[in-house]
Amino acid sequence: MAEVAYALPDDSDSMGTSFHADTRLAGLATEALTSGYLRTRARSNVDDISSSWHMRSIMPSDQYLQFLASGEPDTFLEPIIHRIRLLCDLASKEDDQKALRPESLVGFFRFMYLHRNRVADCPPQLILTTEGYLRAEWRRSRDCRVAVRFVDARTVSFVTFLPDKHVRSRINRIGGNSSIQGFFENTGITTLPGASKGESEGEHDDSR
Amino acid sequence: MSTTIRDEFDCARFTKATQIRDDGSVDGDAFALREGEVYLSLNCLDLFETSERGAQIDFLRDVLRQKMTVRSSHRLSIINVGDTKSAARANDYLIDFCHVPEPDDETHCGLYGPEYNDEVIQDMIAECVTEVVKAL
Repeated sequence: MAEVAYALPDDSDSMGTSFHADTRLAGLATEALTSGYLRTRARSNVDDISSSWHMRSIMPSDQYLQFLASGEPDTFLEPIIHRIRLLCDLASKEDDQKALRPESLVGFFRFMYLHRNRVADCPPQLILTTEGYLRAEWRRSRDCRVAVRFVDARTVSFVTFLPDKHVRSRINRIGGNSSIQGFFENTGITTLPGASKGESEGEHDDSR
Repeated sequence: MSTTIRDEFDCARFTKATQIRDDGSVDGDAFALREGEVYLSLNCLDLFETSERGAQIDFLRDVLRQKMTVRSSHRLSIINVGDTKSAARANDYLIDFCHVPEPDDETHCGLYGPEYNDEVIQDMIAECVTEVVKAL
Protein backbone atom coordinates (compact mmCIF):
# COMPACT_ATOMS: atom_id res chain seq x y z
CA MET A 1 0.00 0.00 0.00
CA ALA A 2 1.13 3.47 -0.69
CA GLU A 3 2.30 5.37 2.30
CA VAL A 4 1.42 8.93 3.07
CA ALA A 5 2.92 10.99 5.82
CA TYR A 6 0.84 13.10 8.14
CA ALA A 7 1.62 15.65 10.71
CA LEU A 8 0.02 16.41 14.01
CA PRO A 9 -1.42 18.22 15.67
CA ASP A 10 -3.65 21.01 14.46
CA ASP A 11 -4.42 23.75 11.96
CA SER A 12 -1.71 26.01 13.21
CA ASP A 13 1.38 26.57 11.16
CA SER A 14 3.59 24.52 13.44
CA MET A 15 4.36 21.03 12.35
CA GLY A 16 4.02 18.24 14.82
CA THR A 17 5.24 14.69 14.92
CA SER A 18 4.98 13.00 11.59
CA PHE A 19 4.38 9.35 10.91
CA HIS A 20 3.37 7.14 8.09
CA ALA A 21 0.00 5.66 7.44
CA ASP A 22 -1.43 3.50 4.75
CA THR A 23 -3.80 4.70 2.10
CA ARG A 24 -6.87 3.91 4.15
CA LEU A 25 -5.66 6.08 6.96
CA ALA A 26 -4.71 8.70 4.42
CA GLY A 27 -8.23 8.56 3.18
CA LEU A 28 -9.70 8.90 6.62
CA ALA A 29 -7.58 11.89 7.37
CA THR A 30 -8.44 13.41 4.04
CA GLU A 31 -12.09 12.93 4.73
CA ALA A 32 -11.54 14.39 8.12
CA LEU A 33 -10.12 17.44 6.48
CA THR A 34 -12.78 17.82 3.92
CA SER A 35 -16.06 16.27 4.92
CA GLY A 36 -18.56 17.52 7.36
CA TYR A 37 -16.89 20.86 7.04
CA LEU A 38 -19.39 22.91 5.21
CA ARG A 39 -22.41 21.93 7.16
CA THR A 40 -23.05 22.19 10.79
CA ARG A 41 -24.44 18.71 10.86
CA ALA A 42 -23.20 16.68 13.77
CA ARG A 43 -20.37 14.43 12.78
CA SER A 44 -18.40 14.63 15.93
CA ASN A 45 -16.02 11.82 15.14
CA VAL A 46 -15.02 13.42 11.86
CA ASP A 47 -14.86 16.88 13.33
CA ASP A 48 -12.66 15.66 16.13
CA ILE A 49 -10.20 14.29 13.66
CA SER A 50 -10.46 17.22 11.31
CA SER A 51 -9.56 19.66 13.99
CA SER A 52 -6.41 17.81 14.87
CA TRP A 53 -5.01 16.41 11.65
CA HIS A 54 -3.70 17.64 8.42
CA MET A 55 -1.56 16.21 5.72
CA ARG A 56 2.04 17.07 5.24
CA SER A 57 3.05 14.81 2.43
CA ILE A 58 0.11 14.76 0.16
CA MET A 59 -1.51 11.96 -1.77
CA PRO A 60 -1.93 12.37 -5.54
CA SER A 61 -4.85 14.52 -6.62
CA ASP A 62 -6.68 11.71 -8.36
CA GLN A 63 -6.57 9.49 -5.26
CA TYR A 64 -7.70 12.37 -3.11
CA LEU A 65 -10.64 13.11 -5.39
CA GLN A 66 -11.48 9.44 -5.76
CA PHE A 67 -11.70 9.08 -2.04
CA LEU A 68 -13.85 12.15 -1.63
CA ALA A 69 -16.18 11.04 -4.39
CA SER A 70 -16.63 7.65 -2.79
CA GLY A 71 -17.57 9.15 0.54
CA GLU A 72 -21.16 10.11 -0.30
CA PRO A 73 -20.48 13.82 -0.60
CA ASP A 74 -23.37 16.12 0.15
CA THR A 75 -25.13 18.41 -2.33
CA PHE A 76 -22.61 21.16 -1.72
CA LEU A 77 -19.47 19.08 -2.01
CA GLU A 78 -20.53 16.79 -4.84
CA PRO A 79 -20.60 19.41 -7.63
CA ILE A 80 -17.30 20.82 -6.39
CA ILE A 81 -15.64 17.42 -6.64
CA HIS A 82 -17.24 16.88 -10.03
CA ARG A 83 -15.94 20.23 -11.23
CA ILE A 84 -12.40 19.55 -10.05
CA ARG A 85 -12.38 16.15 -11.70
CA LEU A 86 -13.61 17.74 -14.92
CA LEU A 87 -10.81 20.31 -14.74
CA CYS A 88 -8.27 17.52 -14.21
CA ASP A 89 -9.66 15.68 -17.21
CA LEU A 90 -9.53 18.79 -19.40
CA ALA A 91 -6.00 19.53 -18.23
CA SER A 92 -4.81 16.05 -19.15
CA LYS A 93 -5.70 16.74 -22.79
CA GLU A 94 -3.73 19.96 -23.02
CA ASP A 95 -0.13 20.11 -24.19
CA ASP A 96 0.62 23.32 -22.40
CA GLN A 97 -0.89 22.67 -19.02
CA LYS A 98 0.40 21.42 -15.69
CA ALA A 99 -1.65 18.85 -13.81
CA LEU A 100 -3.48 19.89 -10.68
CA ARG A 101 -0.97 20.27 -7.88
CA PRO A 102 -1.97 18.12 -4.90
CA GLU A 103 -0.86 20.81 -2.47
CA SER A 104 -3.19 23.28 -4.18
CA LEU A 105 -6.07 20.83 -3.88
CA VAL A 106 -5.40 20.34 -0.19
CA GLY A 107 -5.12 24.10 0.26
CA PHE A 108 -8.51 24.55 -1.35
CA PHE A 109 -10.24 22.06 0.91
CA ARG A 110 -8.40 23.39 3.92
CA PHE A 111 -9.69 26.85 3.08
CA MET A 112 -13.21 25.49 2.70
CA TYR A 113 -12.93 23.67 5.99
CA LEU A 114 -11.40 26.45 8.04
CA HIS A 115 -13.81 29.05 6.67
CA ARG A 116 -16.81 26.76 6.41
CA ASN A 117 -19.14 29.23 8.06
CA ARG A 118 -18.39 31.80 5.37
CA VAL A 119 -18.43 29.54 2.31
CA ALA A 120 -21.28 27.22 3.23
CA ASP A 121 -23.92 29.07 1.26
CA CYS A 122 -21.83 30.29 -1.64
CA PRO A 123 -19.96 27.67 -3.63
CA PRO A 124 -17.12 29.17 -5.67
CA GLN A 125 -16.53 29.09 -9.39
CA LEU A 126 -13.40 27.01 -9.95
CA ILE A 127 -10.79 27.01 -12.68
CA LEU A 128 -7.39 25.37 -13.05
CA THR A 129 -4.53 27.68 -13.94
CA THR A 130 -2.00 26.77 -16.59
CA GLU A 131 0.54 26.20 -13.83
CA GLY A 132 -1.72 23.69 -12.07
CA TYR A 133 -3.24 25.74 -9.27
CA LEU A 134 -6.89 25.72 -8.34
CA ARG A 135 -8.38 29.19 -8.42
CA ALA A 136 -11.76 29.98 -6.90
CA GLU A 137 -13.89 33.02 -7.44
CA TRP A 138 -16.82 34.39 -5.49
CA ARG A 139 -18.64 37.06 -7.43
CA ARG A 140 -21.61 39.36 -7.21
CA SER A 141 -20.65 41.54 -10.15
CA ARG A 142 -17.53 42.54 -12.11
CA ASP A 143 -16.78 45.13 -9.43
CA CYS A 144 -17.61 42.93 -6.47
CA ARG A 145 -15.57 39.79 -6.60
CA VAL A 146 -12.96 37.84 -4.68
CA ALA A 147 -10.60 35.41 -6.42
CA VAL A 148 -8.33 33.08 -4.50
CA ARG A 149 -5.52 30.96 -5.92
CA PHE A 150 -4.40 28.09 -3.74
CA VAL A 151 -0.63 28.19 -3.85
CA ASP A 152 -0.07 25.34 -1.42
CA ALA A 153 -1.66 23.75 1.62
CA ARG A 154 -1.17 26.89 3.69
CA THR A 155 -0.94 29.85 1.34
CA VAL A 156 -3.21 31.68 -1.05
CA SER A 157 -2.77 34.57 -3.40
CA PHE A 158 -5.86 36.67 -3.85
CA VAL A 159 -7.38 39.44 -5.94
CA THR A 160 -10.31 41.46 -4.68
CA PHE A 161 -12.38 43.94 -6.66
CA LEU A 162 -14.61 45.55 -4.06
CA PRO A 163 -16.30 48.91 -3.61
CA ASP A 164 -14.59 51.23 -1.18
CA LYS A 165 -16.27 51.13 2.21
CA HIS A 166 -16.54 54.90 2.34
CA VAL A 167 -16.62 56.05 -1.28
CA ARG A 168 -18.98 53.69 -2.98
CA SER A 169 -18.21 54.85 -6.49
CA ARG A 170 -14.60 53.81 -6.04
CA ILE A 171 -13.61 50.21 -6.74
CA ASN A 172 -10.53 49.02 -4.89
CA ARG A 173 -8.63 46.41 -6.84
CA ILE A 174 -6.14 44.69 -4.59
CA GLY A 175 -3.89 41.67 -4.91
CA GLY A 176 -1.76 39.95 -2.32
CA ASN A 177 -0.82 36.82 -0.45
CA SER A 178 -2.12 35.43 2.79
CA SER A 179 -2.09 32.37 4.95
CA ILE A 180 -5.20 30.31 4.42
CA GLN A 181 -5.97 30.48 8.08
CA GLY A 182 -5.78 34.27 8.27
CA PHE A 183 -7.39 35.08 4.93
CA PHE A 184 -10.45 36.92 6.18
CA GLU A 185 -8.56 38.80 8.87
CA ASN A 186 -5.80 39.79 6.48
CA THR A 187 -8.09 40.96 3.70
CA GLY A 188 -10.67 42.61 5.95
CA ILE A 189 -13.44 40.76 4.15
CA THR A 190 -16.34 39.74 6.32
CA THR A 191 -18.62 38.08 3.80
CA LEU A 192 -17.86 36.65 0.40
CA PRO A 193 -19.67 38.11 -2.61
CA GLY A 194 -22.54 35.84 -3.48
CA ALA A 195 -23.22 34.78 0.07
CA SER A 196 -26.92 34.80 0.75
CA LYS A 197 -26.62 35.27 4.48
CA GLY A 198 -25.99 38.70 5.87
CA GLU A 199 -24.56 41.66 4.10
CA SER A 200 -22.11 40.94 1.34
CA GLU A 201 -18.96 42.92 0.77
CA GLY A 202 -19.74 45.75 -1.54
CA GLU A 203 -23.18 46.30 -0.16
CA HIS A 204 -22.16 48.76 2.47
CA ASP A 205 -24.64 51.32 3.51
CA ASP A 206 -22.01 53.96 3.87
CA SER A 207 -21.66 55.73 0.55
CA ARG A 208 -20.66 59.07 1.92
CA MET B 1 8.98 47.43 -36.26
CA SER B 2 5.71 46.83 -34.49
CA THR B 3 2.90 49.33 -34.62
CA THR B 4 0.25 50.11 -32.05
CA ILE B 5 -3.16 48.58 -32.59
CA ARG B 6 -5.94 51.15 -32.85
CA ASP B 7 -8.25 51.57 -29.87
CA GLU B 8 -11.38 50.76 -31.83
CA PHE B 9 -10.06 47.35 -32.88
CA ASP B 10 -10.88 44.06 -31.18
CA CYS B 11 -8.42 41.31 -30.33
CA ALA B 12 -8.94 37.63 -29.54
CA ARG B 13 -7.03 35.54 -27.03
CA PHE B 14 -6.89 31.76 -27.28
CA THR B 15 -8.44 30.35 -24.10
CA LYS B 16 -8.40 26.83 -22.67
CA ALA B 17 -11.48 25.22 -21.13
CA THR B 18 -9.70 25.01 -17.79
CA GLN B 19 -9.66 28.83 -17.74
CA ILE B 20 -13.39 29.19 -18.25
CA ARG B 21 -15.72 29.12 -15.29
CA ASP B 22 -18.91 27.13 -15.00
CA ASP B 23 -20.94 30.21 -15.86
CA GLY B 24 -19.01 30.69 -19.11
CA SER B 25 -16.99 33.69 -17.96
CA VAL B 26 -13.25 33.83 -18.51
CA ASP B 27 -10.82 33.75 -15.61
CA GLY B 28 -7.85 36.08 -15.46
CA ASP B 29 -5.51 33.13 -15.91
CA ALA B 30 -6.35 33.26 -19.61
CA PHE B 31 -4.42 36.53 -19.64
CA ALA B 32 -1.50 35.37 -17.53
CA LEU B 33 2.01 35.70 -18.84
CA ARG B 34 4.11 32.56 -18.72
CA GLU B 35 7.44 32.84 -17.02
CA GLY B 36 9.85 34.50 -19.46
CA GLU B 37 7.20 35.91 -21.76
CA VAL B 38 7.30 39.65 -22.41
CA TYR B 39 3.88 40.01 -23.97
CA LEU B 40 0.58 38.22 -24.25
CA SER B 41 -0.18 36.78 -27.67
CA LEU B 42 -3.45 37.78 -29.27
CA ASN B 43 -4.83 38.23 -32.74
CA CYS B 44 -6.33 41.46 -33.95
CA LEU B 45 -9.58 40.56 -35.66
CA ASP B 46 -9.81 43.89 -37.46
CA LEU B 47 -6.52 43.26 -39.27
CA PHE B 48 -8.10 40.53 -41.37
CA GLU B 49 -9.16 41.66 -44.80
CA THR B 50 -12.81 41.64 -43.97
CA SER B 51 -14.97 43.68 -41.67
CA GLU B 52 -17.46 40.92 -41.09
CA ARG B 53 -16.97 39.52 -37.59
CA GLY B 54 -17.95 35.96 -38.40
CA ALA B 55 -15.51 35.84 -41.29
CA GLN B 56 -12.75 37.34 -39.14
CA ILE B 57 -13.23 34.62 -36.57
CA ASP B 58 -13.25 31.93 -39.23
CA PHE B 59 -9.97 33.26 -40.63
CA LEU B 60 -8.48 33.21 -37.16
CA ARG B 61 -9.66 29.65 -36.59
CA ASP B 62 -7.84 28.63 -39.77
CA VAL B 63 -4.66 30.34 -38.64
CA LEU B 64 -4.76 28.75 -35.19
CA ARG B 65 -5.41 25.28 -36.58
CA GLN B 66 -2.16 25.52 -38.51
CA LYS B 67 -0.20 26.66 -35.47
CA MET B 68 -1.51 24.43 -32.72
CA THR B 69 -3.88 21.69 -31.70
CA VAL B 70 -7.29 23.26 -31.38
CA ARG B 71 -10.00 21.32 -29.58
CA SER B 72 -13.74 21.76 -29.38
CA SER B 73 -13.38 22.87 -25.77
CA HIS B 74 -11.09 25.77 -26.68
CA ARG B 75 -12.44 29.29 -26.92
CA LEU B 76 -11.51 32.72 -28.18
CA SER B 77 -11.93 35.54 -25.70
CA ILE B 78 -12.53 38.84 -27.42
CA ILE B 79 -11.56 42.19 -25.94
CA ASN B 80 -11.66 45.72 -27.26
CA VAL B 81 -8.28 47.43 -27.33
CA GLY B 82 -9.40 50.87 -26.14
CA ASP B 83 -11.73 49.60 -23.44
CA THR B 84 -9.07 47.29 -22.06
CA LYS B 85 -6.46 50.04 -21.99
CA SER B 86 -8.92 52.34 -20.22
CA ALA B 87 -9.76 49.71 -17.62
CA ALA B 88 -6.07 49.15 -16.95
CA ARG B 89 -5.41 52.90 -16.65
CA ALA B 90 -8.14 53.13 -14.01
CA ASN B 91 -5.87 51.11 -11.76
CA ASP B 92 -2.63 52.83 -12.83
CA TYR B 93 -1.54 50.13 -15.24
CA LEU B 94 -0.09 51.08 -18.60
CA ILE B 95 -0.66 48.50 -21.28
CA ASP B 96 -0.44 48.61 -25.04
CA PHE B 97 -1.35 46.43 -27.97
CA CYS B 98 1.23 46.16 -30.76
CA HIS B 99 1.11 44.42 -34.11
CA VAL B 100 3.70 41.63 -34.08
CA PRO B 101 3.12 39.77 -37.35
CA GLU B 102 4.52 36.29 -37.73
CA PRO B 103 5.16 34.47 -41.02
CA ASP B 104 2.17 32.20 -40.57
CA ASP B 105 0.11 34.63 -38.55
CA GLU B 106 -0.26 38.10 -40.04
CA THR B 107 -2.70 39.42 -37.46
CA HIS B 108 -0.66 38.33 -34.46
CA CYS B 109 -0.22 41.05 -31.89
CA GLY B 110 1.17 41.46 -28.42
CA LEU B 111 -0.31 42.92 -25.28
CA TYR B 112 2.56 44.64 -23.50
CA GLY B 113 2.64 45.86 -19.93
CA PRO B 114 1.41 43.10 -17.62
CA GLU B 115 4.08 41.37 -15.57
CA TYR B 116 4.44 37.73 -14.68
CA ASN B 117 2.21 36.69 -11.78
CA ASP B 118 0.34 40.00 -11.53
CA GLU B 119 -3.13 38.62 -11.01
CA VAL B 120 -4.78 42.02 -10.61
CA ILE B 121 -4.12 43.12 -14.18
CA GLN B 122 -4.93 39.63 -15.46
CA ASP B 123 -8.33 39.80 -13.82
CA MET B 124 -8.90 43.35 -15.01
CA ILE B 125 -8.29 42.29 -18.59
CA ALA B 126 -10.55 39.27 -18.19
CA GLU B 127 -13.32 41.57 -17.01
CA CYS B 128 -13.03 43.35 -20.37
CA VAL B 129 -13.93 40.25 -22.36
CA THR B 130 -16.96 41.12 -24.46
CA GLU B 131 -17.53 37.84 -26.20
CA VAL B 132 -16.41 34.24 -25.98
CA VAL B 133 -16.62 32.09 -29.11
CA LYS B 134 -15.51 28.60 -30.05
CA ALA B 135 -11.95 28.32 -31.31
CA LEU B 136 -12.74 25.38 -33.56
